[in-house]
Amino acid sequence: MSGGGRIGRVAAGAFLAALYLFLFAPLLVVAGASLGGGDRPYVRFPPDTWSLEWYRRMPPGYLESLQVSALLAAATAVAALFLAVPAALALVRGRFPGRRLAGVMLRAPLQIPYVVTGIAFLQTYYLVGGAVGLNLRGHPVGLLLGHVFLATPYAIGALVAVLERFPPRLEEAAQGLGASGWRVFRRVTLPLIAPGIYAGGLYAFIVSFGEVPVALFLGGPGVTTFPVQVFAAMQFDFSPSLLAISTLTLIVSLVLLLALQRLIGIDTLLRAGGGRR
Amino acid sequence: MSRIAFDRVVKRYGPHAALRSLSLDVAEGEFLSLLGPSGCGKTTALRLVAGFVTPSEGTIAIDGRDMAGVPPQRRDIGMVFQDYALFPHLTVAENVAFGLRERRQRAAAIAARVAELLALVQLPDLGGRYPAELSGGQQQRVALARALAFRPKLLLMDEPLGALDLKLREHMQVEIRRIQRSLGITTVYVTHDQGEAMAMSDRIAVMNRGRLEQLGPPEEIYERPQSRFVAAFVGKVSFLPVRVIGREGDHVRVAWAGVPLAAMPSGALPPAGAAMLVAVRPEAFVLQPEAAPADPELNALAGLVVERVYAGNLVHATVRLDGGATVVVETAADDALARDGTRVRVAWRAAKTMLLAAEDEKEAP
Repeated sequence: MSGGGRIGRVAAGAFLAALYLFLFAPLLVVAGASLGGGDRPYVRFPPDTWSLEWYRRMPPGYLESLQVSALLAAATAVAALFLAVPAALALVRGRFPGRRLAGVMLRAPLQIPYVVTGIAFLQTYYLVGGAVGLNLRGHPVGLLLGHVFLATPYAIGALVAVLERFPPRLEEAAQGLGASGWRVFRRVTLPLIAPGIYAGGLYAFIVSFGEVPVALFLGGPGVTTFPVQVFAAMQFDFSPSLLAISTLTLIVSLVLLLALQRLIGIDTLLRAGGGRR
Repeated sequence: MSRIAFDRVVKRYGPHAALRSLSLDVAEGEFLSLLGPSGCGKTTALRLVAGFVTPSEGTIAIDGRDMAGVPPQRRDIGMVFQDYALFPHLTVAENVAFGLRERRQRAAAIAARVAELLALVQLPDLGGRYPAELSGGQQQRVALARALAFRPKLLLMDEPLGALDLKLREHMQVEIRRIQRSLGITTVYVTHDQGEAMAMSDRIAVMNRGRLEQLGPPEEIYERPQSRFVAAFVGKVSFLPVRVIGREGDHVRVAWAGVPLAAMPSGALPPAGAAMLVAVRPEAFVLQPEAAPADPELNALAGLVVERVYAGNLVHATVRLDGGATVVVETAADDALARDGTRVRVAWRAAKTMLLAAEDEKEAP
């Protein structure tokens, strides 16, 4: 029994190691190759020389686009949450005809390929532009609208999951103790759906930050997102600095994620959103 | 003066009536239980008082003031829920302080009141814990402390002991009653447990299918049930279908399977020949040897013991009477007659023979 257990553990460990290798190998190759230095239009791993040269020679456009993406993703997350919190509350708590249909409709953007969404928004912007002279294409607000469209269903999904586990009597209890509608939301509902808010916000941020097709259609000079910039660079003028900026982004993402985990304590929050016992 | 007055309150959910014309007064300082099976409307009645639902018809007044349009947060009522509904993100002390903070009391006053309440429910040292770290019984006490902290006018409890095991439940019955008495707070208590209702209440309102079946002190409910439903729901009982023969002194003569019996009427005397039910509690029966001389003062029927259920201090013997029906007799554990296959005579006093209408009143649609 114990011998079989040990073999089982070793096998499970080997499987996990292989899985992690499969997932992380491409990232390791990029990070390793970014330390090569020298002038060459291709990737070499492991590098034959070690240097931070490509980090020093990073074109300023990369950093600008990174800034655009970060701001856009943050704005997308905030806007998506402002839509998702009331929507999720209505979907879980509401008692109105067509509630199921509303749920399907609100999740619909998940079913539409990003390219189609991009084209649809672009056509709409052309129509709006033609009608009232307001050109949203290439405008940050236009891009933001597109990303909010993509990201909101993810935020709604995260919040609905938390709300469905929410003990139903808690709000009544707060009301019975003298709390009015807003106070109930502020003191009970909001703290308890906080894990959903963090998770939903994070999803929305990631969707916006990593998305290419919609940003490609709706962006323009001055509103080029980081993934679009990388995409264009890969196609037209590959520079090894691409490896450097990608590695930097990776590191920043990891640090942010760890900080969030440490700051909020995902585990305790999940417990707080949990049941009665 | 009555604290809570239900006046012909109806609550409908779509075509289904959860409550059909309930009229009921709860007196100052009283502990009143709403007792009945699930779906009888007892929880609906409680939620109507709390203001979480509004009546379809009729009025509910608290201290003489109609509560129509008054939201729950303005009713000043402490409520304890079946699942406690403690706030999981707040500590015990913060939970208890919730109602005080909503009333904008000063921090020092809140802290003092929280300490006072935690002492009252005998959890003085657990203020810093989170609800998830407490046992079910402790959570129950915290829920009670939270409901009482802001000095509400009324206390409502919805099956507060339902989730606890038997020993703890009996202990908490005594605890809740002690606290309720010491505060003198008017309390409405919802339960489906007749033992609990009898142990705790000043009065019990027995409910069935959205109606009030009977209202009275526990002894009255148990000893003088007004309907078959109440007799069967509160305590154990054996029924015998009988025909009325006529009045005899302060008793009523009835006949079961040709055998005359004496019974106590519960209302107006029914006409001779009317079909009625005789109801007898298990402890009212005694077992006698079949050959023993009969006591003319007692009702007596012969039968055969067919089953014996041992319950430690006593036994329940099922006796199949010669006339066909079976009755359950409670007797001492060492009663030699209470053995399977023994021929016995079942005897009981006329005063313990309840006479009820054969059918409960038909439901109005």
